[in-house]
Amino acid sequence: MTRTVIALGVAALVAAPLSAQTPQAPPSGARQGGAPQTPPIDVPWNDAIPPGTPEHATRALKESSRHGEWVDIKMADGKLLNSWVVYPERPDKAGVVLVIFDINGMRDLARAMGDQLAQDGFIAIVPDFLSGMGPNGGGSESLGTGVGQAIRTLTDADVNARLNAAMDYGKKLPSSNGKTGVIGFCWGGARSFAYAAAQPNLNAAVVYYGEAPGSADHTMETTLANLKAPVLGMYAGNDARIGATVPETQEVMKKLGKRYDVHTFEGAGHGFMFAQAGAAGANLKAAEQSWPMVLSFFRTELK
Amino acid sequence: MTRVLLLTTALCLGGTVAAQQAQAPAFTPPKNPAIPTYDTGQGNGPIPQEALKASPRKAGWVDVKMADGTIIKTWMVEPAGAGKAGVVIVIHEIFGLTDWVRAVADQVAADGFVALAPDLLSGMGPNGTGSAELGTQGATQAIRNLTVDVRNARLDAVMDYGKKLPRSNGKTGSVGFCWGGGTSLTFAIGQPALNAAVMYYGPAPTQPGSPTPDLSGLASIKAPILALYGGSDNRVTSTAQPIADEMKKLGKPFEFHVYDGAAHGFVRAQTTAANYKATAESWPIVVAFFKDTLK
Repeated sequence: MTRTVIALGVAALVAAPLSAQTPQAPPSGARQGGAPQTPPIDVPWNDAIPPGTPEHATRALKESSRHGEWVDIKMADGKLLNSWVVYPERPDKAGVVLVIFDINGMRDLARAMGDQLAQDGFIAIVPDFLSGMGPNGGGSESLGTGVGQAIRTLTDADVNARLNAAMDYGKKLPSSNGKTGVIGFCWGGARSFAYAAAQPNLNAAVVYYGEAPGSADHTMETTLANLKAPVLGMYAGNDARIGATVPETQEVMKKLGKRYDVHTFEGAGHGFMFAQAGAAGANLKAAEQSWPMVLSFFRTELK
Repeated sequence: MTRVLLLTTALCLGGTVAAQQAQAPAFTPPKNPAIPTYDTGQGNGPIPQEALKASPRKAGWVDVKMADGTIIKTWMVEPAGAGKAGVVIVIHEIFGLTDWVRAVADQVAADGFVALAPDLLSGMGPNGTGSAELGTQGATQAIRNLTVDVRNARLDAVMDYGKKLPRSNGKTGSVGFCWGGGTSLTFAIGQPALNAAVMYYGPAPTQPGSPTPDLSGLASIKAPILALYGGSDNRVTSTAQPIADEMKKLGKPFEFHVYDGAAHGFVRAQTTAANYKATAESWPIVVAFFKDTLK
């Protein structure tokens, strides 16, 4: 049995670059497209980092002592942005972090990321960017396997309008300190970078394995010209598609005088945070090493 | 296909093994029959279940029928004896009507009141069911559909049911927790015949989807309000003083207490010393308040 798994794992490795180019919503329990397919490791329960398997995410949400609620945030055009909002347990005001999910849409892993940020002291808002795009006005949940396809129809303008509504909501909360950060993963990582480029009032942006706007057509000197927030980039060593864009992004950010801290985690695959069982332990290690840096970044920038 | 199945199985096994390594709570509250019991989770754990089993009081499910035929499943507990008593409506958290909320109702009855704990999500679960079938996470989703108007219509029916009970002395109070705390206040705004309202860490009223408190409704409150807050719950507690200021301006009684170090949901989550202390200190204040206002 062990031998069978290993043999199939090698076959999957060969197929990996192809799936990286056309990411698709995987079946529940499987890891994301793009990550090298090795037998999953047994991920230990560790509430100091975001849950990185679907099972741990579901458990974290069930056991959370924090207040989480679904809110229909009103957007400028009157449409509603269904969002999962989680609050920290603290006596003073807190910074707000907007969470941008990956190509798999709203799922327990995304909501548990919000719960983790609240545990770490921030008000977390996790918008369902597909709100109202499903059958009968539903969102991610109602789209099922069509989530990835629906996400790809969202333009940067669509996403930024939703993030603006969430940011505005967060700023007006009585317990908000007025600072806003954003964090995104995979598809959401690129959107996090694009939002930082578009929203000058943003205070910090964390990009997990997402490309900068304009990197594909080498127009970053224009697209990043108005970026104000410092950007923290977390990349996977085994993710050539995104990794290849980083050096030029660093060059342009430096030239424009913008802060861009980059960390690349050797051996980890694209999507490592929500696929901690993958890459023979490298994904878990990347999650464990990157998360404290995210926290210290947000704690500095959102205080 | 085979590969995916193998991987999925392995992941599931990993999850099960990890789930068995549940951490013991850092603090175990002492047995205290004078306050509501607690839970280590979101309200359906063994501790409140045992408390319900051990209760010597007469308790059971009753159907509260609304004018439109909707049935509100309600857990009723009677105090000892046969005399008349005030009725207290116990309003559940964002997790729906859990075993813990029913155990709180049991404590309310132990303190001398007829307790009615309605499942405000009645009819909103799959196939017309309610909280139990939704589960705590499903309840969190479904509860968004309960507008203040819907909540108040349901609570009006429960209040009406309580007033007609042979043991009712005609007075009605409400006590709510978390989402139910906010609902206890909005019920007091909507129901002029309510005699007292207690709000445990309830958010200030807002318009749907709005982040900012809307205190305009406070003007129509008739009942005295008692509010209890956790010091480590800035989301809610930051709204206490603005409400107090507005109530003072309106000349309406509003008493509030903030418990240092206590978190949101402290009565359910007595698994920290600060949360237990807040519960032990606040509950006698609640009981005295109801004894005074519902006599």
